[in-house]
Amino acid sequence: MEEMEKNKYSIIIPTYNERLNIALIVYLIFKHLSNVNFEIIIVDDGSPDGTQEIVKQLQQVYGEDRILLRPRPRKLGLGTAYVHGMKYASGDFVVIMDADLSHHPKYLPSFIQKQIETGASIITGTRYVKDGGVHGWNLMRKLTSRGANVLAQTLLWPGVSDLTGSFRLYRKSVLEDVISSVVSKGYVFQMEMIVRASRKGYQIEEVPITFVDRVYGTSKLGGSEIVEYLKGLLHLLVTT
Amino acid sequence: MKHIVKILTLLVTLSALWVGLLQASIIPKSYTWLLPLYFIVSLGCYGLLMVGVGLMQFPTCPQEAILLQQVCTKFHSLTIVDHDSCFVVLDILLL
Repeated sequence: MEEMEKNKYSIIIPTYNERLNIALIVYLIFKHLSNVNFEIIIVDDGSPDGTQEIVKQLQQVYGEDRILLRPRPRKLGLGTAYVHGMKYASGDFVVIMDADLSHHPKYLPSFIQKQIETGASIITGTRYVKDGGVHGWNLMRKLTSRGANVLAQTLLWPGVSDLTGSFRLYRKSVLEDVISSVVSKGYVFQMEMIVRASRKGYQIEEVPITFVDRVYGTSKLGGSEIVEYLKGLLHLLVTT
Repeated sequence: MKHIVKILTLLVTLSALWVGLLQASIIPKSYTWLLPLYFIVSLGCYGLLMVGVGLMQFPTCPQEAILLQQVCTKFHSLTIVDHDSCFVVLDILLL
Protein backbone atom coordinates (compact mmCIF):
# COMPACT_ATOMS: atom_id res chain seq x y z
CA MET A 1 0.00 0.00 0.00
CA GLU A 2 2.85 2.35 0.85
CA GLU A 3 4.60 1.56 -2.42
CA MET A 4 1.40 2.24 -4.26
CA GLU A 5 1.58 5.81 -3.02
CA LYS A 6 5.31 6.12 -3.62
CA ASN A 7 5.28 5.11 -7.28
CA LYS A 8 3.86 7.24 -10.02
CA TYR A 9 1.86 5.69 -12.84
CA SER A 10 1.41 7.17 -16.32
CA ILE A 11 -1.67 5.87 -18.11
CA ILE A 12 -1.36 6.27 -21.88
CA ILE A 13 -4.63 6.16 -23.81
CA PRO A 14 -4.50 6.48 -27.60
CA THR A 15 -7.78 7.85 -28.96
CA TYR A 16 -9.49 8.31 -32.28
CA ASN A 17 -13.13 9.44 -32.25
CA GLU A 18 -13.73 8.53 -28.60
CA ARG A 19 -15.79 11.58 -27.65
CA LEU A 20 -18.48 9.42 -26.08
CA ASN A 21 -16.13 7.27 -24.04
CA ILE A 22 -13.24 9.43 -22.94
CA ALA A 23 -15.04 11.32 -20.16
CA LEU A 24 -16.40 8.10 -18.70
CA ILE A 25 -13.06 6.31 -18.83
CA VAL A 26 -11.31 9.25 -17.15
CA TYR A 27 -14.03 9.40 -14.49
CA LEU A 28 -13.69 5.66 -13.86
CA ILE A 29 -9.89 5.85 -13.61
CA PHE A 30 -10.14 8.57 -10.96
CA LYS A 31 -12.81 6.57 -9.15
CA HIS A 32 -10.79 3.35 -9.02
CA LEU A 33 -7.36 4.86 -8.34
CA SER A 34 -8.25 7.28 -5.57
CA ASN A 35 -5.11 6.64 -3.48
CA VAL A 36 -2.65 6.40 -6.34
CA ASN A 37 -0.29 8.97 -7.79
CA PHE A 38 -1.01 8.90 -11.52
CA GLU A 39 -1.36 10.95 -14.67
CA ILE A 40 -3.40 10.23 -17.79
CA ILE A 41 -1.74 10.92 -21.13
CA ILE A 42 -4.21 11.09 -24.00
CA VAL A 43 -2.68 10.72 -27.46
CA ASP A 44 -5.38 11.80 -29.88
CA ASP A 45 -4.78 11.24 -33.58
CA GLY A 46 -6.66 14.28 -34.84
CA SER A 47 -10.19 12.96 -34.17
CA PRO A 48 -12.75 14.92 -36.18
CA ASP A 49 -15.50 14.27 -33.59
CA GLY A 50 -14.22 16.73 -30.98
CA THR A 51 -12.49 14.29 -28.64
CA GLN A 52 -9.86 16.91 -27.90
CA GLU A 53 -12.49 19.47 -26.87
CA ILE A 54 -13.84 17.02 -24.30
CA VAL A 55 -10.33 16.30 -23.04
CA LYS A 56 -9.70 20.03 -22.60
CA GLN A 57 -12.84 20.28 -20.51
CA LEU A 58 -11.69 17.31 -18.46
CA GLN A 59 -8.37 19.08 -17.91
CA GLN A 60 -10.29 21.97 -16.35
CA VAL A 61 -12.02 19.61 -13.94
CA TYR A 62 -9.08 17.41 -12.97
CA GLY A 63 -6.10 19.67 -13.69
CA GLU A 64 -3.63 19.80 -16.54
CA ASP A 65 -1.05 18.02 -14.42
CA ARG A 66 -3.32 14.96 -14.08
CA ILE A 67 -4.62 14.87 -17.65
CA LEU A 68 -2.13 15.53 -20.40
CA LEU A 69 -3.39 16.02 -23.94
CA ARG A 70 -0.61 15.26 -26.42
CA PRO A 71 -2.32 15.11 -29.83
CA ARG A 72 -0.87 14.17 -33.18
CA PRO A 73 -2.07 15.62 -36.49
CA ARG A 74 -3.48 12.40 -37.99
CA LYS A 75 -3.76 8.64 -37.59
CA LEU A 76 -0.20 7.40 -37.24
CA GLY A 77 -0.59 3.94 -35.73
CA LEU A 78 -0.83 2.41 -32.28
CA GLY A 79 2.84 1.61 -31.66
CA THR A 80 4.02 5.14 -32.38
CA ALA A 81 1.18 6.49 -30.21
CA TYR A 82 2.77 4.77 -27.20
CA VAL A 83 6.21 6.09 -28.14
CA HIS A 84 4.72 9.57 -28.48
CA GLY A 85 2.87 9.37 -25.15
CA MET A 86 5.89 7.95 -23.35
CA LYS A 87 7.97 11.03 -24.19
CA TYR A 88 5.75 13.00 -21.82
CA ALA A 89 5.36 10.32 -19.13
CA SER A 90 6.78 11.26 -15.75
CA GLY A 91 5.79 8.05 -13.96
CA ASP A 92 7.94 5.09 -12.95
CA PHE A 93 5.39 2.81 -14.56
CA VAL A 94 3.37 3.12 -17.74
CA VAL A 95 -0.07 1.60 -18.22
CA ILE A 96 -1.45 1.21 -21.73
CA MET A 97 -5.14 0.66 -22.31
CA ASP A 98 -7.84 1.16 -24.93
CA ALA A 99 -10.19 4.12 -24.79
CA ASP A 100 -13.31 2.31 -25.97
CA LEU A 101 -14.14 0.85 -22.52
CA SER A 102 -13.39 -2.71 -23.62
CA HIS A 103 -10.78 -2.41 -20.86
CA HIS A 104 -12.42 -1.50 -17.57
CA PRO A 105 -10.39 0.79 -15.24
CA LYS A 106 -11.58 -1.25 -12.24
CA TYR A 107 -8.77 -3.71 -13.03
CA LEU A 108 -6.05 -1.07 -12.62
CA PRO A 109 -5.61 -1.69 -8.86
CA SER A 110 -5.00 -5.40 -9.48
CA PHE A 111 -2.27 -4.56 -12.03
CA ILE A 112 -0.57 -2.28 -9.50
CA GLN A 113 -1.03 -4.75 -6.65
CA LYS A 114 0.39 -7.61 -8.69
CA GLN A 115 3.42 -5.53 -9.69
CA ILE A 116 4.15 -4.62 -6.07
CA GLU A 117 3.71 -8.23 -4.90
CA THR A 118 5.94 -9.76 -7.55
CA GLY A 119 8.27 -6.93 -8.50
CA ALA A 120 7.70 -7.88 -12.14
CA SER A 121 8.65 -5.57 -15.01
CA ILE A 122 5.47 -6.22 -16.96
CA ILE A 123 1.94 -7.08 -15.84
CA THR A 124 -0.27 -8.15 -18.69
CA GLY A 125 -4.03 -8.52 -18.58
CA THR A 126 -5.19 -11.93 -19.75
CA ARG A 127 -8.64 -12.83 -20.97
CA TYR A 128 -8.12 -16.58 -21.18
CA VAL A 129 -8.01 -17.60 -17.51
CA LYS A 130 -10.46 -18.05 -14.65
CA ASP A 131 -12.10 -14.72 -13.71
CA GLY A 132 -11.12 -13.36 -17.10
CA GLY A 133 -13.28 -13.45 -20.19
CA VAL A 134 -14.55 -11.96 -23.37
CA HIS A 135 -17.98 -10.70 -24.28
CA GLY A 136 -19.34 -9.93 -27.72
CA TRP A 137 -17.43 -12.40 -29.88
CA ASN A 138 -19.20 -14.79 -32.23
CA LEU A 139 -18.08 -18.39 -32.73
CA MET A 140 -15.89 -17.52 -35.72
CA ARG A 141 -14.07 -14.85 -33.77
CA LYS A 142 -13.51 -17.23 -30.85
CA LEU A 143 -12.29 -19.96 -33.18
CA THR A 144 -9.79 -17.67 -34.92
CA SER A 145 -8.59 -16.39 -31.57
CA ARG A 146 -8.06 -19.88 -30.14
CA GLY A 147 -6.38 -21.11 -33.33
CA ALA A 148 -4.03 -18.13 -33.41
CA ASN A 149 -3.22 -18.61 -29.74
CA VAL A 150 -2.48 -22.36 -30.03
CA LEU A 151 -0.26 -21.72 -33.06
CA ALA A 152 1.69 -19.00 -31.27
CA GLN A 153 1.99 -21.02 -28.06
CA THR A 154 3.25 -24.08 -29.95
CA LEU A 155 5.75 -22.19 -32.10
CA LEU A 156 6.98 -19.41 -29.81
CA TRP A 157 6.69 -20.78 -26.22
CA PRO A 158 6.19 -17.24 -24.92
CA GLY A 159 5.22 -18.13 -21.35
CA VAL A 160 2.23 -15.79 -21.49
CA SER A 161 -1.35 -16.96 -22.06
CA ASP A 162 -2.76 -13.89 -23.81
CA LEU A 163 -0.37 -12.55 -26.44
CA THR A 164 -2.52 -10.03 -28.23
CA GLY A 165 -4.09 -8.30 -25.25
CA SER A 166 -3.39 -4.59 -25.03
CA PHE A 167 -4.13 -3.85 -21.37
CA ARG A 168 -0.70 -3.85 -19.76
CA LEU A 169 1.50 -2.24 -17.13
CA TYR A 170 5.20 -1.75 -17.90
CA ARG A 171 8.11 -0.46 -15.89
CA LYS A 172 8.90 2.66 -17.89
CA SER A 173 12.53 1.76 -18.65
CA VAL A 174 11.42 -1.69 -19.83
CA LEU A 175 8.77 -0.27 -22.14
CA GLU A 176 11.36 2.09 -23.65
CA ASP A 177 13.79 -0.77 -24.15
CA VAL A 178 11.28 -3.20 -25.67
CA ILE A 179 9.38 -0.74 -27.87
CA SER A 180 12.60 0.38 -29.57
CA SER A 181 13.16 -3.09 -30.99
CA VAL A 182 9.57 -3.69 -32.14
CA VAL A 183 8.81 -3.29 -35.85
CA SER A 184 5.28 -4.72 -36.24
CA LYS A 185 2.19 -2.61 -36.56
CA GLY A 186 -1.46 -3.06 -35.68
CA TYR A 187 -2.62 -6.41 -34.42
CA VAL A 188 0.80 -8.07 -34.27
CA PHE A 189 2.36 -5.17 -32.33
CA GLN A 190 1.16 -6.36 -28.90
CA MET A 191 2.35 -9.90 -29.58
CA GLU A 192 5.79 -8.73 -30.66
CA MET A 193 6.07 -6.52 -27.56
CA ILE A 194 5.40 -9.35 -25.12
CA VAL A 195 7.49 -11.96 -26.97
CA ARG A 196 10.51 -9.63 -27.20
CA ALA A 197 10.16 -8.71 -23.54
CA SER A 198 10.00 -12.39 -22.63
CA ARG A 199 13.14 -13.15 -24.71
CA LYS A 200 14.99 -10.27 -23.09
CA GLY A 201 14.38 -12.01 -19.78
CA TYR A 202 12.03 -9.48 -18.19
CA GLN A 203 9.72 -10.91 -15.54
CA ILE A 204 6.15 -10.96 -16.81
CA GLU A 205 3.12 -11.64 -14.61
CA GLU A 206 -0.55 -11.92 -15.54
CA VAL A 207 -3.80 -10.69 -14.04
CA PRO A 208 -7.26 -11.73 -15.24
CA ILE A 209 -9.27 -9.10 -17.07
CA THR A 210 -12.55 -9.11 -18.93
CA PHE A 211 -12.86 -7.72 -22.42
CA VAL A 212 -16.24 -6.38 -23.50
CA ASP A 213 -16.27 -5.90 -27.28
CA ARG A 214 -18.85 -3.20 -27.79
CA VAL A 215 -19.04 -3.34 -31.54
CA TYR A 216 -20.77 -6.70 -31.65
CA GLY A 217 -20.62 -8.73 -34.83
CA THR A 218 -18.01 -6.70 -36.66
CA SER A 219 -15.16 -9.16 -36.66
CA LYS A 220 -11.85 -7.39 -36.63
CA LEU A 221 -10.15 -10.52 -37.93
CA GLY A 222 -10.59 -10.73 -41.69
CA GLY A 223 -8.48 -12.64 -44.19
CA SER A 224 -5.83 -9.96 -44.50
CA GLU A 225 -5.45 -9.78 -40.69
CA ILE A 226 -4.87 -13.53 -40.59
CA VAL A 227 -2.15 -13.20 -43.26
CA GLU A 228 -0.60 -10.32 -41.28
CA TYR A 229 -0.71 -12.44 -38.13
CA LEU A 230 1.03 -15.39 -39.80
CA LYS A 231 3.68 -13.08 -41.25
CA GLY A 232 4.20 -11.60 -37.78
CA LEU A 233 4.53 -15.08 -36.28
CA LEU A 234 7.13 -16.05 -38.87
CA HIS A 235 8.99 -12.80 -38.31
CA LEU A 236 9.13 -13.46 -34.56
CA LEU A 237 10.33 -17.03 -35.16
CA VAL A 238 13.39 -15.91 -37.12
CA THR A 239 14.21 -12.68 -35.28
CA THR A 240 13.73 -13.52 -31.59
CA MET B 1 19.67 -18.21 -29.79
CA LYS B 2 16.95 -17.39 -32.31
CA HIS B 3 13.79 -19.31 -31.65
CA ILE B 4 13.74 -20.91 -35.08
CA VAL B 5 17.15 -22.42 -34.29
CA LYS B 6 15.75 -23.95 -31.09
CA ILE B 7 12.88 -25.53 -32.99
CA LEU B 8 15.18 -26.78 -35.77
CA THR B 9 17.56 -28.23 -33.18
CA LEU B 10 14.65 -30.10 -31.66
CA LEU B 11 13.60 -31.43 -35.08
CA VAL B 12 17.17 -32.45 -35.95
CA THR B 13 17.50 -34.26 -32.61
CA LEU B 14 14.27 -36.12 -33.26
CA SER B 15 15.42 -37.04 -36.78
CA ALA B 16 18.75 -38.26 -35.43
CA LEU B 17 16.94 -40.46 -32.91
CA TRP B 18 14.78 -41.78 -35.71
CA VAL B 19 17.76 -42.58 -37.93
CA GLY B 20 19.39 -44.22 -34.93
CA LEU B 21 16.33 -46.40 -34.44
CA LEU B 22 16.36 -47.34 -38.13
CA GLN B 23 20.03 -48.33 -37.94
CA ALA B 24 19.77 -50.23 -34.68
CA SER B 25 16.61 -52.09 -35.78
CA ILE B 26 15.48 -52.62 -32.18
CA ILE B 27 11.92 -52.48 -33.39
CA PRO B 28 10.89 -53.74 -36.87
CA LYS B 29 11.84 -51.29 -39.64
CA SER B 30 8.30 -51.17 -41.02
CA TYR B 31 7.19 -49.61 -37.72
CA THR B 32 10.13 -47.23 -37.52
CA TRP B 33 9.40 -45.89 -41.02
CA LEU B 34 5.95 -44.84 -39.88
CA LEU B 35 7.11 -42.94 -36.77
CA PRO B 36 7.45 -39.49 -38.46
CA LEU B 37 3.93 -39.91 -39.81
CA TYR B 38 2.67 -40.64 -36.28
CA PHE B 39 4.55 -37.61 -35.05
CA ILE B 40 2.92 -35.27 -37.58
CA VAL B 41 -0.53 -36.76 -37.02
CA SER B 42 -0.24 -36.46 -33.24
CA LEU B 43 0.98 -32.87 -33.57
CA GLY B 44 -2.11 -32.10 -35.65
CA CYS B 45 -4.35 -33.88 -33.13
CA TYR B 46 -2.75 -31.91 -30.32
CA GLY B 47 -3.44 -28.63 -32.14
CA LEU B 48 -7.06 -29.53 -32.90
CA LEU B 49 -7.58 -30.75 -29.34
CA MET B 50 -6.18 -27.54 -27.87
CA VAL B 51 -8.35 -25.39 -30.13
CA GLY B 52 -11.38 -27.53 -29.29
CA VAL B 53 -10.80 -27.47 -25.54
CA GLY B 54 -10.04 -23.74 -25.69
CA LEU B 55 -13.24 -23.12 -27.59
CA MET B 56 -15.33 -25.20 -25.18
CA GLN B 57 -13.87 -23.51 -22.12
CA PHE B 58 -13.76 -20.06 -23.69
CA PRO B 59 -14.33 -17.74 -20.72
CA THR B 60 -17.17 -15.31 -21.31
CA CYS B 61 -18.47 -12.48 -19.16
CA PRO B 62 -22.04 -11.49 -20.07
CA GLN B 63 -22.56 -9.98 -16.60
CA GLU B 64 -19.65 -7.59 -17.23
CA ALA B 65 -21.32 -6.33 -20.39
CA ILE B 66 -24.54 -5.64 -18.48
CA LEU B 67 -22.67 -3.82 -15.71
CA LEU B 68 -20.80 -1.70 -18.22
CA GLN B 69 -23.99 -0.89 -20.07
CA GLN B 70 -25.57 0.27 -16.80
CA VAL B 71 -22.60 2.46 -15.98
CA CYS B 72 -22.62 3.96 -19.50
CA THR B 73 -26.32 4.66 -19.48
CA LYS B 74 -26.18 6.26 -16.06
CA PHE B 75 -23.15 8.35 -16.91
CA HIS B 76 -24.45 9.53 -20.28
CA SER B 77 -27.86 10.36 -18.87
CA LEU B 78 -26.06 12.68 -16.48
CA THR B 79 -23.63 14.20 -18.94
CA ILE B 80 -24.11 14.06 -22.69
CA VAL B 81 -27.44 15.87 -22.56
CA ASP B 82 -25.78 19.18 -21.89
CA HIS B 83 -22.12 19.81 -22.36
CA ASP B 84 -21.96 22.84 -20.12
CA SER B 85 -23.47 21.04 -17.17
CA CYS B 86 -21.59 17.87 -18.03
CA PHE B 87 -18.58 18.72 -15.95
CA VAL B 88 -20.57 20.30 -13.19
CA VAL B 89 -22.07 16.87 -12.75
CA LEU B 90 -18.60 15.37 -12.93
CA ASP B 91 -17.53 17.71 -10.14
CA ILE B 92 -20.43 16.60 -8.00
CA LEU B 93 -19.62 12.95 -8.65
CA LEU B 94 -16.05 13.55 -7.58
CA LEU B 95 -16.46 15.68 -4.51
